[in-house]
Amino acid sequence: MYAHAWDRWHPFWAATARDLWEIGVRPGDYVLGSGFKMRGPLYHADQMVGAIPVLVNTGIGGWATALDAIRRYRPVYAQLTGLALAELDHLSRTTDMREVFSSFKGAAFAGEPLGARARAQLESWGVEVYLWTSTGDVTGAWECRQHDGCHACEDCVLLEAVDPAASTPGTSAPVADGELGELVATSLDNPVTPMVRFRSDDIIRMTRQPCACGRTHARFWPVGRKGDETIVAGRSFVPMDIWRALEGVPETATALFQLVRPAREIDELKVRVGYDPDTTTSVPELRDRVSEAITAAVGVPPVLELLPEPELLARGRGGKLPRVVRS
Amino acid sequence: MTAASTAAAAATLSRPGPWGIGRYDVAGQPVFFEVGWEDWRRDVAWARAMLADHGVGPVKGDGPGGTGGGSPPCAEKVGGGLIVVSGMPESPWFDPVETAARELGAPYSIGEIYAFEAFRTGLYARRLPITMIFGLDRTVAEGLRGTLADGPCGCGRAGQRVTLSEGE
Repeated sequence: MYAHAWDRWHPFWAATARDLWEIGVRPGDYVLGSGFKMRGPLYHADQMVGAIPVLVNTGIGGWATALDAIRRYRPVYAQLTGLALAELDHLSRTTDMREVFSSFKGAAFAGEPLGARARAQLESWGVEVYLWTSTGDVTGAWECRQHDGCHACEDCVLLEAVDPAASTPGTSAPVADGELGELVATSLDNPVTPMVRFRSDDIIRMTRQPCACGRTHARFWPVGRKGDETIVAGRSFVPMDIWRALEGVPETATALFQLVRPAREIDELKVRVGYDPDTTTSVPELRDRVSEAITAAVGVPPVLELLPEPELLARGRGGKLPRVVRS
Repeated sequence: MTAASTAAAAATLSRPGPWGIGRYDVAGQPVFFEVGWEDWRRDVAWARAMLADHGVGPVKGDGPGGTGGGSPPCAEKVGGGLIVVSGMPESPWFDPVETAARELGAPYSIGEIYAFEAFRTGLYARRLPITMIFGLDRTVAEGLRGTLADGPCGCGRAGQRVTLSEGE
């Protein structure tokens, strides 16, 4: 829980306005509203650059109506999440997505990693994807048109990448430019919730080399959550390893899955996987192929719980599916 | 580039369009509508008057605190805060309430309308000096049932009877 104070534009989203401008959003453009509101009025960023938010449901189950809004208003931008992409994947079977998205200058994606298949699919629809992430919940950090790392807003946040093994920020040393480190954030413009050296648990690679776009603020690449590394039968892996394996199986290509992990070190690799019921002809046969793919990726045969995608989507939270759960 | 320079640059931009586009359904058919900036300002003015009537306003202590007596201005002694329960697509209706709360100097918190977000509304109601929960819907109310015994007053939604007490 954190708070802001402001006069006209919400500070978190005001910083985002510069990223929308970079994408190409201009006064008078329509943009599709975001699906979730817990972070506040995201549409302030749209309005700040003179754009007009189309406020329709782009959350779970809302994309059929959102496509209707896209056809009516021809927006230039939308905010996407992993669960939205799973829904769009299904809609693409009956909809010409290149035509739907032909008005777009770009779309943002956040909340979890963007898998290679999902990125390729968006590109096949003619959508240029801009990744963004949170800087320790102080502000956002977005890719520019170079797509070479997320730009921190260093007028809003003091950003550090420190040795992830250190027990406290006070004893942690900064890692060298480009090395893996834990993101530590200090807010510079929030007198209400002034987080100081907040350890985010996010593992990043950060550089202070100027970007080809000309901006000089630090850039970073999210790598994963520090606590997500899992050890099973002595082998170490991260959820992205399972993600890539599932993308290679057509019926699970949306990579909707949960690693069921009561502790960081486990004896049994239990994975809950969503499959597409429309294209799955034999669940037992699918189970064999998914098991083979995960075993090849992680080195340990999984214990699988296969669920139709809609059942797993119902466990989504705030636009994303918790990838590591205790039960 | 700084936050100040970004805001200054944005202030010079034209805003040729309306505040936003909203949508609702009638008999299963979508109706899209424009909210103009003047519409939005009128809605904010209405919401200000409504919230002020219900005691929504700045959270204040009743003295300087310490040896000066009373509670300092930062003390959670007097209410005045607001929780707005709404979804992003409902912003044409709820943003004026949020803006009015901010203009009144009242702290406000955002609770989402999904069942899995009910805990957030409950957390705010229990831990913050909240005078009113605005926009409480049946889904969130069911998630909170029995958890807010002496809570703030609630303003629900037309056509939905919501209860927070056990056994009703």
